[in-house]
Amino acid sequence: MGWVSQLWQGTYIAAEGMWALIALGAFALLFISLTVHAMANRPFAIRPLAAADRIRSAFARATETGEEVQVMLGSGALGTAATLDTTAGLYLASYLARRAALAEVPVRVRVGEATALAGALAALQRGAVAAGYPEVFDPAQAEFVAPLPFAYALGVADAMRRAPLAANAVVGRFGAEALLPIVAGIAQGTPQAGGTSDPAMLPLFVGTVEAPLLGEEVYAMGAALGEGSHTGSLATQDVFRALIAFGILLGAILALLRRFA
Amino acid sequence: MRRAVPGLVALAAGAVVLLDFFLENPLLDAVGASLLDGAVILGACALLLGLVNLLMVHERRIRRREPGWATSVVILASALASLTLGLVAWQTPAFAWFYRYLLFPLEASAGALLAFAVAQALVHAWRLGRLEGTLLLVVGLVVLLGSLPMSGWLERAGAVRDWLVAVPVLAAVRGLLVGVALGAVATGLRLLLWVDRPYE
Repeated sequence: MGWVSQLWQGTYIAAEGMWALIALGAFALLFISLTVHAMANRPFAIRPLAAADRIRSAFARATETGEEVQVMLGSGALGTAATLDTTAGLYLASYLARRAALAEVPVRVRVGEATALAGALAALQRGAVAAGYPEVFDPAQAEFVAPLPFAYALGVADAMRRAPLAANAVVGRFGAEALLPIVAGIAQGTPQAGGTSDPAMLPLFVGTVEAPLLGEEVYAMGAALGEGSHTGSLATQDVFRALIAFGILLGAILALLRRFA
Repeated sequence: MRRAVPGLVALAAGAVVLLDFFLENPLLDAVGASLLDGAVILGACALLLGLVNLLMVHERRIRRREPGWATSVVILASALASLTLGLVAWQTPAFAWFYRYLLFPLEASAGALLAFAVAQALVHAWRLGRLEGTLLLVVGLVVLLGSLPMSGWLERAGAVRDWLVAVPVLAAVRGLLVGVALGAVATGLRLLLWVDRPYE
């Protein structure tokens, strides 16, 4: 066991890091137990997400019209701070590809970053394979529009004006440039749903998209689209959110009492 | 086995980088830094995939004479021209000129369009008749007025803007950030613990 102590030598953890690690450990334990419970038994009940319902109904309409369903992933890269938002968009792309393979609805994923393109190709292929029709996967379903945010936004807006869409799902990391294709969608009368986790960008989505995803709702898309295992993580989030809210309330009450004492 | 090995590698890499974030250890630091460097190199390689995809998508559009195929000709020509310029004239004034006088002004022009898009979006939000839309329009106008150098009674718009930003907006953003942070941790754990494999 000498090598273990040698490996451990010089290891240091700051006090704030220790508390964060303990909190993460507690979160992970609850997450594992609730996820296992959701997978083994019945998924936890969740409140309906308007964006997921909107995408489902638009997809159903697309099976009749034959129009494309578009997923905009934005300019976020995998491996950066945008990974989780982009992953949420990839999950949606995979879900739509699975349903599209069965219903013969064209799905187009437009990305503005190369690592997201690799992820989109894999997600689309995975969806087609999961549906049992791997041959319907076409690499051109994922489209690398441009690596610069505004060039990406203008490219997507131009594509939306050229061919009408059955639906536009905007899920990923976006800046204000996302308004350009969204406004193009409004002009075309395209049903649009989506959002981003960046609070600064939320007003743009609330005002323009019929079914906006607010903050952490972006990460709840999987559960809302029927992925039972995701409900375990939502339940974990709810428990911790309640604890944090309780802590904030308690702190506020104690601060008030101290002031009047 | 074909699915398990990449998953286990991803799990181990994620665990090492996560531990490296919390612990100060020379070996973990070195391994974590190498893994992050590897991710950057892989990201750079993905650009090649992006270029191939761009060529493939637009070549197909031109071949099939799809709507907007003329734009695809311009995109292909521009992509190949900038690629050639980058390979042949790297670190020359011509390359810098391309960025300074072509690419940046085009980006800035696209940015200028945003003002019109925001105005159109605000009007759309109001026309939808939703409470959020009307609220957004009113608050947007107050913040806009409050940011202008006004005198007289309009000066009060500045105080209203400051209160809006410091009290209700800040409270809402903090609440959202708590939710986003918890959602981010949960999504990260789903990926790390292999519950979720969206891009397997």
